[in-house]
Amino acid sequence: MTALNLIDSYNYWLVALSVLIAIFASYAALDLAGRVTATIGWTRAIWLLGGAVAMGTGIWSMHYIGMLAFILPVPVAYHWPTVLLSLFAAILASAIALYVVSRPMMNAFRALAGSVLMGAGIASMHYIGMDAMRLPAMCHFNSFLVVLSVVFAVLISLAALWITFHFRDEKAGSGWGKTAGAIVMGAAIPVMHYTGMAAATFTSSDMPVDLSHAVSISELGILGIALVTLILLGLALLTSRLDRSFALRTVELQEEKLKQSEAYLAEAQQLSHTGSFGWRVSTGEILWSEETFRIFQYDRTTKPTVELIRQRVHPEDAALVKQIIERASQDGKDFDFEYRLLMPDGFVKHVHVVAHALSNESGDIEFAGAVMDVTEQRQARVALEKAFADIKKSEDRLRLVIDTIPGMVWSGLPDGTFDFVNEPWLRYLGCDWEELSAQGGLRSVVHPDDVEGSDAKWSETRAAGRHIDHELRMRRADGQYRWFLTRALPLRDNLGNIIKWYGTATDIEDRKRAEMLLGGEKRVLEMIARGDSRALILDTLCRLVEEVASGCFSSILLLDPNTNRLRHGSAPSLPPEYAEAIDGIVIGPSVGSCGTAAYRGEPVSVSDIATDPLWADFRKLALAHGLRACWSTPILSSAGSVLGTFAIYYREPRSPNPKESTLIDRITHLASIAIERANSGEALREQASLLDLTHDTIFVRNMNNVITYWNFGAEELYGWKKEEALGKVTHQLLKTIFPSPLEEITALLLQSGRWSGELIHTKRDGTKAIVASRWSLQRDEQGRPIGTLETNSDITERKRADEALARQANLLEQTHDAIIVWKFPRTITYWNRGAEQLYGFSRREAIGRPSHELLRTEHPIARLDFEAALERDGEWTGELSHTTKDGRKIIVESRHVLISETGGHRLVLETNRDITDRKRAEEEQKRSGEALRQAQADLAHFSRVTTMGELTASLAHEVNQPIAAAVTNANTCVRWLAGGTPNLEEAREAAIRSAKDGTRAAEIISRIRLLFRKGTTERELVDVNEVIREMIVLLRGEATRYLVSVETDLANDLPPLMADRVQLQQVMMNLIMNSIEAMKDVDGVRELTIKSERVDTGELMLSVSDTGVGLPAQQAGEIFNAFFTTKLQGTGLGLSISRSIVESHRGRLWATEHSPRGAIFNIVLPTRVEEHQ
Amino acid sequence: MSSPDTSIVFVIDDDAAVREAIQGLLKSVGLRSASFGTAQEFLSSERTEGPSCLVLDIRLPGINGLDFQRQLADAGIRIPIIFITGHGDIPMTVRAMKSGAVEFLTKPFRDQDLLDAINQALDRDRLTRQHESELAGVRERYESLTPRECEVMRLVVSGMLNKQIAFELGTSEITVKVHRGRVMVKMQAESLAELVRMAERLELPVKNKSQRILE
Repeated sequence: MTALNLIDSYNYWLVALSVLIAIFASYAALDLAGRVTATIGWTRAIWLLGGAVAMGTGIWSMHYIGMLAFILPVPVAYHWPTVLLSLFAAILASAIALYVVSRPMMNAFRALAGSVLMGAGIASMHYIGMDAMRLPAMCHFNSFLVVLSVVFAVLISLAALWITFHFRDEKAGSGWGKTAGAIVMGAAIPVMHYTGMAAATFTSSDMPVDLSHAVSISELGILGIALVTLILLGLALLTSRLDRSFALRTVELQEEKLKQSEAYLAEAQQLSHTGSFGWRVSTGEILWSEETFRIFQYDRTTKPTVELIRQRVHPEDAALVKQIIERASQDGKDFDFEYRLLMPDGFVKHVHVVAHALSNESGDIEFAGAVMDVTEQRQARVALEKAFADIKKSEDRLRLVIDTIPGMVWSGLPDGTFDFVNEPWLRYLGCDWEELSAQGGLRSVVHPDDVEGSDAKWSETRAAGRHIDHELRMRRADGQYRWFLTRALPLRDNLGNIIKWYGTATDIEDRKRAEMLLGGEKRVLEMIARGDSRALILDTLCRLVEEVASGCFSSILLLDPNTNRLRHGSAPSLPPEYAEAIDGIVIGPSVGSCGTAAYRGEPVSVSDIATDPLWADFRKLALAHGLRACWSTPILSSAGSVLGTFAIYYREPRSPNPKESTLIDRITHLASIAIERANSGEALREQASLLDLTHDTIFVRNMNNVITYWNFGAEELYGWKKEEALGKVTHQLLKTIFPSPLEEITALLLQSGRWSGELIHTKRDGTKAIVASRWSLQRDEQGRPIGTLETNSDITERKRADEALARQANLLEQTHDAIIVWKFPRTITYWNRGAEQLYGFSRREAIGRPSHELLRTEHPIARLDFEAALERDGEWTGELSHTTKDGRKIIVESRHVLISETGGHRLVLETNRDITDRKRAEEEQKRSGEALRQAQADLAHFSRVTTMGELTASLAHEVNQPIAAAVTNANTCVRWLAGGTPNLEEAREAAIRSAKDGTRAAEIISRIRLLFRKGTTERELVDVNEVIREMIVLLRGEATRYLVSVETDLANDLPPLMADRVQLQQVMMNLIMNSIEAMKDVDGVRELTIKSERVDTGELMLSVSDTGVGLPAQQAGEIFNAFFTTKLQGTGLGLSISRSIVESHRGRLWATEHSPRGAIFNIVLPTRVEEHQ
Repeated sequence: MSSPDTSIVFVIDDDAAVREAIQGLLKSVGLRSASFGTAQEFLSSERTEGPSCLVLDIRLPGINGLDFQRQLADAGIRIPIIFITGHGDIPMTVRAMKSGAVEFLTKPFRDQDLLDAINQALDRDRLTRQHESELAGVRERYESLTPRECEVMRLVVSGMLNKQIAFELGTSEITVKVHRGRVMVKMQAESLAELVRMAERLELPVKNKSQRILE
């Protein structure tokens, strides 16, 4: 065997190329691995495959380039199936490696397994590749180096995998980590390769070379492989990059969306005061949302812990919270509870916590939950409960009031049943609520004729949801029916649903009767105007009387002047036999009541037929028909002749009361008209003028609603004159608003001949009027309708008053002010809730009591004056002092308004507001003001004393003057007495003078002492001029000393001023002294002028002007400042104090220049005379 | 006091009570008085002839008493002044006395002090007035002389002899003698010595020239 080691060598250019390709391939593979990690599903598989192919091809390509670089002295060929097998091994190894690095988790085992596999793959590829060699040589392997090459492959793979795994997610595609990984990995392959090559030793052999399936690799071919590989790798890299940038963009978009939805969540949490949290029990780790931080009032930067929560828990809830937290951390169950937080500022919060327990894979308990700030809801709930309690209370009170008031009150449910009537009503009915219910309720006491109408009205009221007045008769305990006006008001809840009805019933029996009479009279007048038959009219009259004066019978007899017989006129209710029997009786001096009345021409009232002699002839007849009393009145014509008689019969003896007499008069008068009109058959014109007599609004319209008649009342109500109204269409002229469609009303009118209801009309001046309207259909002889007579009365005011009253009553209860209504003399008739609260007296205690006694009112002025003022102005406003039930004295701001009520009652509405606290505060302020004034007074005193010190010389002079005079006069007196013949007269005069001088000296001294006196701030009425004169006297010496002439110009008509005399003197003294001071060094005129006057505004103006040096230049503004002085020995307090004194008198003090030289000090003081007179 | 009817005391004080008191005192000793509130009033009043004096408060409205004193002197009104003051001091006293005040009294003063001062002042004034009235008589007589007689008299009292006078006047001795005799009669001079005294009072200029000649 010619074993000859073949000398091998390397083409280093190709070696370099092989290393480069290995690195490049590794880089591409790592890049693709990143994509593998970032994708899932089949995309991931494709990326994995692509990566593996790229890497595998790279390794493979490197190998063969490396082989080409290996130069042997023999020709080398390759067995190509084996070459392909080696390519497959390379790709497989790469796939394994990529799979390993793209796993989400990497541990030692995986890494090791991966690297072993990869190393094995690379090694396999190498040695398979070696096996593919066909050359005329033997290949021997150094087993140590072979093992070493495999170990290198595995170790370097491990390093590469580790680096790659840690840098795979690096976003910047060309990070250093990846490059390093690529270099290490790229190095692994050539290192392994060249180690493997080093392990191989080639010895030449003569063995024939099996060249089947073998190819030779030329350098050109190798370059082709390298190129193809590079292109392949480049493409793979490019694709990977593109895909990555798409993926990155998508991730960014998703992140942005996430951020936004987090922001929404935070906003929502803030709005709903709901924060969220997470809590991992095992670690104690807590996560809070922003709102949770806010709720617990912690800074966002703090790390939330259970301890922090505990710090905020309200002490009273601490045990509860502790228990819940402990239980939750133990058993991991959901929790849901409410507790309170106590904030550092003392605010108490209510929070509601809900949490849901989650278990993660590792079995740890985690809670996710929400914490809600429910403080507001809590407060709202408490307020609501209180409101309910208040309502309940006020209902009880209302019930009490309702039972107390003299009116009748009821309440009903929305379904129409009545659930309450008050005490006065039950008294009227004479039964209690149970008995009433047993009889069948309120319906059972309504007059049978009114039941149906009332039911309908009540249904209508409920349907309309507003009050509709209704009139009905109700049976009294004694069985008599009386008329009532009922009125209902709905109580609504917030949504407007009616939850209850309240109503009143007012006894209108008297009014009803009066109305009945008026209505009857009108009806009769209409009949007369219409020209109805006499019999009909007289019947109507008689029925009217019987209706109004219940229980009587009436009759009208007509006198036939030719025969002096009384003929039957009308007697609708008298027994027909009786009426027939008296028909045709001849009148005479004692022919019953009627015959006698017609005979005498004057009323004859027989109160008892059984005994009255006038009835001697007819007694039997009358008594047989049960008639016991008969009052007859002659019906007189306008000319005074007897037309007939009108008589009222009763079944019991009685005589007419004044009401009945009036009734008889009115009926007789009507009867007279009826009989006369009927007799004369006057024309329509007369009827019309008759209608004009009434003040009611009456007009007639034809079937086309054209106005054909318009009376005076209509003119008055609507403002259109007759000429203007006639010919107009009624409802256009008046813009009538109907309660229901006109067609319905017209149908009703045609059917029944009558209609009545409320209309709204517009007057000529544009104002609206609500009228109660009654229509009556007019027919001709054939019974065809020819027109409508409409009578209207204005009820606007009444309506308005009703509404206002309802509104007011409601409002009065709402206000916190005390509202009291009393009538003269001071009897309380209304007392609202505010008054109850303010004074402590309940309504029951207050009503009916005299208000000034109850409240111990103290007026600022005499009570009589107060009442006179109220009378004069209709109102009074001011402060009063009252005493409450518990004896507290309070001050109220009171307003009295005089209200006139119908029926001549005058009421006073008094509204009081408690201002005691405000007053007290004012007093307090006043007191502190007092202290300040005292301090000022002390300072003023100090200043005064200082000034007086400066004045010593002048004052001594002033005191000396009168003393000198006194001494001289005394001596003179002695001289007169001492002479040989004493002159007593002269001596006396001298003595008087001496005494006067002494007094004067004393006065001056006392003035000086006054100025030295310590300041008290006493105000008295002061004559300002007197103050000025006094000060001039005191300071005259000082003025004279400096040759200053003092002039005064004092007004005579000055009112006295409420002031502190001493302080004013001080001001004058200061100003005069200042002026003298200012002039003492000037040459020329030294004039001091003091002026007082009253200015237009009613204030006093004082001025002190001098011809001195004037105000200090540039410091004019400072002269009033304390301690500012231009004098050598001044304190600098004089002007400052003067100003504060003047200001304490609510005045002003200021200085101006005096032309041509000097200064003027001006004072303005308000006169407060008015207050003190 | 020899002629109480004509003497009068003026009082100037701005204090009415003081004025009244002083006037009352003066009345008690029989002195006439008039009083004024201000210096101005005093100046504008009419003053009667006769001995008088002024009681003046040193502090007057508008003017200082001392200044007023000077003002009076400047105006040639010679009237003795007694100052009174409510609050006097030494410099003021000195100034007042230097200016010729009769007395300086501090209120309240003793009545006798004031009265003494007033009497002193009135005496002084009376004396002054007497001198003045004598002088006035002499002047009157002197003015009745003719110019020639005046000349002769001037020369006579110069001590010139008749002869010298005649020479001086260029006339005869006889004529001088006649003139001289007339002068003596008109001037009511009993002796030459008396005439010389009169000339002195009239402050006639001495004839120096003739004196020189005489020498």
